[in-house]
Amino acid sequence: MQLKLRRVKNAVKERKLRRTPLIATALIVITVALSIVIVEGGFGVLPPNQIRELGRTILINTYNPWNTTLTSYSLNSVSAIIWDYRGIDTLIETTVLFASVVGLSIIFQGIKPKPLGAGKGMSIIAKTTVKLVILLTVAASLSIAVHGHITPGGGFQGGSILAIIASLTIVAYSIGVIFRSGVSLDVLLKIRYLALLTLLLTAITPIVLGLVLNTRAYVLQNMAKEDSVVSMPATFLNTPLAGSIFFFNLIEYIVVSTSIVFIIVLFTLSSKILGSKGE
Amino acid sequence: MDVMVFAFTAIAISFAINIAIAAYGIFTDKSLLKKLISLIIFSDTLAAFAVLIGFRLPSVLSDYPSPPILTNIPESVDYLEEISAKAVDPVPQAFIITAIVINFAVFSFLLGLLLLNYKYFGSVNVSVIEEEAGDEVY
Repeated sequence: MQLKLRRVKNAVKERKLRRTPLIATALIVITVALSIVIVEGGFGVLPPNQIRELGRTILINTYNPWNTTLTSYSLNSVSAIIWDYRGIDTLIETTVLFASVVGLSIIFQGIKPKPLGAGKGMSIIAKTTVKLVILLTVAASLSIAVHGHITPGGGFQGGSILAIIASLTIVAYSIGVIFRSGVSLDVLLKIRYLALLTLLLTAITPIVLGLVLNTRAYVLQNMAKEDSVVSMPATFLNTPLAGSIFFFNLIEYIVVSTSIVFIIVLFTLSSKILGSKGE
Repeated sequence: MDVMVFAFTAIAISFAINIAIAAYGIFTDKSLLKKLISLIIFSDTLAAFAVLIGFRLPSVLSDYPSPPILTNIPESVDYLEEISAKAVDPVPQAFIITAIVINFAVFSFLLGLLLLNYKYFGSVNVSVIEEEAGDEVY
C-alpha cells in the first residue's frame, strides 16, 4: 500500500515537472498570438479614436434635462453607471463584499480580542503626524464620497480612504487603541449589517412610494420615467443631488470602510494568534 | 501621431506579456502567497488593459481627452455633444471599479484561507502542505 502510494506521488511529481515547460510554451504562444492581433489591429485601433456608442449615449444622458426618461442628473457619468444604469450589478457586488467579510468572520470565529495593554507604538512625532493625517483623511474621504456624483470619486473610493485610519492607528499606536475607542469586530459587523439593510431599503423605496401614491414604480428607480412619476430628489438647495446616487454613495462609504477596517483588524489579531505552527 | 500609436501598441503588448507572466506564476509557483500575488498582478493588468480600451486616441495632441465628468450644468444639448466628443469612455471605468471591489473581497478571503493553511501546516508552500497532509491529498 505504502509502495503504491509512493509510486503515485512520484508519478505526480514527474508529471508536474513535465507540465511546467508546457505551461510556459502555451503562455508564450498565447502572448505572441495576442501581440500579433494587437499589432495587426484585430481589436481595432488601441485606444480607439472614437468612444463606443454605449459610452457616448451615457455621456449625453448622464445630466440631460431634455431627456428625462434616460437621465440620472449626475454630473459624474461613472457614478451614474455604477448606481443608476447598472445599479443592480453594484448592489450584488456589495453583497459579494459582505459575503467575503462574513466568510472571514466564520474562518476566524475562534479569535477573540484579548485585553490588550497600551502598546508602545512609534515616536511622539509620528503619533502627532498620524493624528493630523487622520483628521485630514476623514474630511477628504467624506468629501470624496458625498461629492461622488459631481466630482471624481464615490462611496467605494471614499470608504477605502477612510479605512486607512485603522491601519495608520495600528502601526503608529497599537491595536489596543482601536478597541479602547469602542470599535470592536462585533460593532463593525453590526454597522455592516445595518448599512447593507439600508442599501436594500433605499433600492425598494421607489416601490413603497409607488404603493403609497398608487402608481407604477420600479426597484432601484432613480428619476421619473415616461410611465412612472416616482422620482428621487434631483437637486438639494440648487445643488445637483442625483437622487438615489447620493444616498447609495453615502451608504457604500460606510459599507466599504467598515468592511476594510474589519478585515484589517481581523488580520492584525490573527497574525498574533497564528504566530506558531499547529495551534 | 504614428509614434503615439506605436507607443500605445507597445503598452498593449506589455500588458499581454504581463498577463502571461502572472498566469505562469499562478500555475507554477510553489508558494500559495506568491500565487495570490500573481493573481493580483493578473487582475490589475486586466484592469489597466480595460482603461486603455476605454481611453481615446487624440487626433491632435492639443485635443487631449477629458475625464467623463461634466464640469458645468449643461444649458443646451450642444454642450453634451461637445463633452461626448472629447471625453473618454466611462463604461470600462465603471466596470473596473466593480471589478476592484469584487477582487478585494475575493483576495481578502483567499488571504484568510492562506493564514488558515499557515496555521495548520506551518507553511504556505504547496510541497510542504502536500508532505504534511500526507495521504489526505490523494
